[in-house]
Amino acid sequence: MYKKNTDENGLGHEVPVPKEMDYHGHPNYNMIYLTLIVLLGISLLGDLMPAKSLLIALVFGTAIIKAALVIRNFMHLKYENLFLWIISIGAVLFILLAFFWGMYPDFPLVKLELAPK
Amino acid sequence: MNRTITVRPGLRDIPQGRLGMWLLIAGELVIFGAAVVSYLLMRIRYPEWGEQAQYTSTALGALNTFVLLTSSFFVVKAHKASLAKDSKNVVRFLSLTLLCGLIFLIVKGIEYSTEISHGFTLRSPGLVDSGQGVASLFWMYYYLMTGLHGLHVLAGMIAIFVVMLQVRKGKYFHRVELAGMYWHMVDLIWIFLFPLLYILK
Repeated sequence: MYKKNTDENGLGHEVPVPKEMDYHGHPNYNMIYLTLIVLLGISLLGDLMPAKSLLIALVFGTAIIKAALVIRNFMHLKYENLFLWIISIGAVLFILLAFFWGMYPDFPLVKLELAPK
Repeated sequence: MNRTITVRPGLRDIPQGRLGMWLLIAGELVIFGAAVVSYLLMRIRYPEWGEQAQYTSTALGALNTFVLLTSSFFVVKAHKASLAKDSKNVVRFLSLTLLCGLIFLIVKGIEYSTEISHGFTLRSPGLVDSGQGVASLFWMYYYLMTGLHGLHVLAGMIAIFVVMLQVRKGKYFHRVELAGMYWHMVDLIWIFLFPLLYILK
């Protein structure tokens, strides 16, 4: 981890910072917490939506924003190396694509039959 | 004018503990991702699952979401205190996190007992006997996903408790962030379980 000090001429000087002291920055946690609670409140207004599609958009939209706030700010991913972005986001994308490409085309065509008692 | 810019760390700058924790989190996301996606596929295919979701308590689910979000806030506060080697505040915020975890499990226990008393179990024999076998599978998924998540909450509480004891002795302050990252992951999973199982009826 380095901090870059720029002088009056705009020239950068990298200054190493001990990892255990300041590995990454810190956002305004109070504001992020408040935003998360407001988003939770908004997601609970789903019953007021006139159409199911709007309800789904509202509920998943707020969930995705909440998740992004937690992962970027509380887990400090926004300060991290690109490699960690790739393994975390890649894990989720992998499972989504694997399921939808691997199962979804066949899934609606097959009727589920439960074994008799 | 002099100003300081924080530079994104290189791959070799990532502390081993953080890298290991991110790999663990990626693995956990695959496990829960598989459960969530297969639930979604079933939910789209069988609308009767939506009818079963009517019986989950949105109020208790929302309360638990609030509790987990609050606990995540306490964890980052503990992490910030750990950077200043302020063991008193670290212990205080981690204790509050543990309290939130305990409240979450108690509320979940209340939900489970209500649902089981109404005959909604892993097998839901009442539904199966009345010819609603497919609908009964909703409860199997419900208990699988919330139960697995509950076990992760418990594991996170144990990890945080151990770290808290170490910090009290003035040791291993950096582990606060690692235990915290795990806890945020537990919160992250619940953020998606809540709308899937409680809001979308």
